[in-house]
Formats: sequence, C-alpha cells, structure tokens
Amino acid sequence: MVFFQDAEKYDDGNMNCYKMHDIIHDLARYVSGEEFMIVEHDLLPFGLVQTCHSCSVGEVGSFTVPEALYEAEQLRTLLLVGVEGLKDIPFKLFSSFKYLRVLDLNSCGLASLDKSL
Amino acid sequence: MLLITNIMQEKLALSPLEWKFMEERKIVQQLLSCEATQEGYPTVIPKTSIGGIGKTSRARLAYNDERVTQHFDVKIWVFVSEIFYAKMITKTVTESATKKICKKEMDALQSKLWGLLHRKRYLIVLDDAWSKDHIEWGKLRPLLRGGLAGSTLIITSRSKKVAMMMDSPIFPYHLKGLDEDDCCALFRQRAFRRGEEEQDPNLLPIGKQIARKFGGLPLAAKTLGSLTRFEREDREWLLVENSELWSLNVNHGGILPSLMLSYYHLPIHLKHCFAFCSIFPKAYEIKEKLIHLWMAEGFLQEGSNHQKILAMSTSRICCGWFSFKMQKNMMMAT
Repeated sequence: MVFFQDAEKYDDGNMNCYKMHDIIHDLARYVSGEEFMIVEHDLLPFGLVQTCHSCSVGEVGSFTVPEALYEAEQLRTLLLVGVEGLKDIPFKLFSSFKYLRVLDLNSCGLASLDKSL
Repeated sequence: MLLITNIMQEKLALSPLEWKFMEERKIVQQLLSCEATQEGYPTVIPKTSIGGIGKTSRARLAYNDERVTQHFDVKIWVFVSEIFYAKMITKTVTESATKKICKKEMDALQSKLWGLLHRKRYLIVLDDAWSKDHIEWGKLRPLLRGGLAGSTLIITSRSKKVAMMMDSPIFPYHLKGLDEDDCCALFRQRAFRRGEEEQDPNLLPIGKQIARKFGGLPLAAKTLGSLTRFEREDREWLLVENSELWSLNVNHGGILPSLMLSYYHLPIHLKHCFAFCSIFPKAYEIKEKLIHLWMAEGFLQEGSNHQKILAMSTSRICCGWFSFKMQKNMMMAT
C-alpha cells in the first residue's frame, strides 16, 4: 500500500503489476539526480545528458527520439515509453550508445524490426 | 442536547476507520444530492491536501461506495498527474469508459465522449491534477456538458488553485491528517509483527516519539513503520528518532523528511534500485521486467545464489518501499 497502488495479482497470489505512489515517485526522482531520467522533447536539460545512465522517453504522442539525447554516450538503459508511432528504429540509436544494455521498444507500435537486428 | 445525543449515537455506530472518513460520508451525501447546475455543466467538487494525507484513498472510498455506484450511470476515474492536455484527458476518459483504445483525432474523441456522457448521470474523478493552464482547462469544460442533472466532477490536487480551475462555486475541501494516536497505531501495525511489542518493550516508547514527527501523514507512518520492522536494536530506532533530517522541513525539494529518512536507511545497492524506478513515468505499470532491468544495470550483486539475492532485494525494498513481504521466498502482496 505504501509504494504501489492498484497492484494486480496472479491467480497463485504472486504479484503481476505494481504502481508507485506519486509521492514516492517524487522522492525517487529527487534522489536520482541526473543519473536516471525521464526525458521529454522540450525539457531536455542542457548538459545533463552526459551524466545520464538510464532514461525513458516519456512524452505522449511524440514520434521521434529527441536529438539531444544522442549526446548521452554513457546510456545503459533506454525505454521508449511514450514514443507511439515510431516508424523505424533510428540507426543512430545503435551507433551513439556504445554501452547500451537494454532497449525497450515495446510501446512504440513497431510492426517489424529491421533484418540486420 | 438532542443534537449531541444524535452525534454520539452516530459515532458509536461507526467503526474508528469509518469515523475518520466522516468527510467522505459528507461527500457521498453530496454526490447523491447534487442538483441541476447552469447550462448542463457538472457540479465540481474540489478536494485538496498536502501529499501523503490520502486524498486518493479517501476519494476512492466515496467513488466505490455502493450508493454512489447505483446513483450514477457512468463512473470514470482518471489519474491526471503533471501533464495536462484537454485532448489527453478526453482520450483517457473515453478509453476508460469504453475499455478500448480510441483514435487520436480530437473530433472523433469529442463525439465519442459526447455519446458517452449525453443524457447520462456521470461521475468523473480527475485525480492528482497539477496544471494551472487556463487554456487547457477551458477546452475541457465544454466537453463535459450534456450530462443529466446531478453529474459531478471531483478534482483532487495538492494545490487549492488547481482544484479551483473549473470555476467551481464550491470551496475546496481541505483534508486534514490523522491525529497522533492514529498515526502511532498505524506505525505500530507496520513496525511490529504479532507479539513483538512485548518482546522488545524498549522499542515502543521510542516508536511513540517517532510517530509524533509524522505530522498526521499516514504515508509517513506506513513507510517508517515498514522501515523499522527490520531493526530490533534500540540504537537503530533512536537513530531514526534523533535524525537531523526531521528538522530539514523545507529543504529536499519538498520531499517529506520521513521518506527521505527511509531512503537513507536503505543499503547502497537498494538505493540504486530505488532511484532507478524514477525512469518510469508516474502511475506507470511496473511489471516483473523491473528485476531484469536491475540486473542489466548491475545493481544486484553477483557471485552468490542469484535467486536468493533477488528475493532478498526485492523483499527488502518491497517491505521498506514497495510494502511487500517475503513469504515462502516469493513476493506476495500485503
């Protein structure tokens, strides 16, 4: 009840899905500083991206990855959460982030992946 | 005299928890008795409080009340948060009412919404609104016309100004926190397993002192209760009680000292795990893949029984933060 609300359970009682309480989310955002971020097109803070290790692009209804994000060379985790309707995966994603370990394209609405992947 | 008797009787008939939520009873009554308003607009009920008081939980009580469910033809709950566009609200309202993904064009959305609300008595809750954008609120207003008399819109917000964005003539309900005793009871419920209070008689007095610092916030009581549940040494509890963080009320970007304190008490790798969660948007549905993301980031120590570490980490974080407990080595909801 503290951290998550509206959690769903599997039939066997194990947890399936959690949501963070919004105030706890504020705290997480506060303590994470510049290392973990939610990135939005207009609000990408200048100079911060260098230190960013993990981020989600969370703007509803956008169709592109923000150009400035490519400067975050240290990026390890990238979740494209709000980028609905991305037509192709920009090749730059792979050429820019040498240390990328996780790329989540689940909610992009892509029909197929390029054969080279 | 008669009045006093009535109140006493009513008080006796209610459980303590229900008594706490008298304000919600008032709101339920108000929801059931809303009359026609001008030009077919819904009645707007603004509710405000600082974060952690339980705005959402209390609004949920009224929303889920059986009489309320019977009274309204359509009930819709929307978690709003910081990003506020009339179009997005329209889309969310329409989707949660139809349980289908809707088209993105505003015209299509508008006519769909009109169809849903027209000649219906509806209840819409806009939960946790932040925006003071007059233009977007202004766009939303005409979309909510057309319902039957008695249709109601509840807006919850930390800000009085935001709650008043729909020009409601009703003054915002400002929700108050719990009193000290209730806060302490809530804390004890989390901090002690059954029978533990007697085993560690020194801890309770310290716990009572800690509970005085919660400022009536149930969230603070629950979080710190879950944190101290792992500590059985007087010394650890005294550290919490005497922490300097309690006096840093204004700093930390408006973060509650009690929550900050809980964060500082996490072991370092769990601090990383927790901070990592900030990459999810608010109200994002976090699924099991979170553990895999932690692994990819290298937050979980390697070299020993991985399964055990996973269970320990998640359960520790869960108890302190996610409010879960470990049972048979698996995560279970409390």
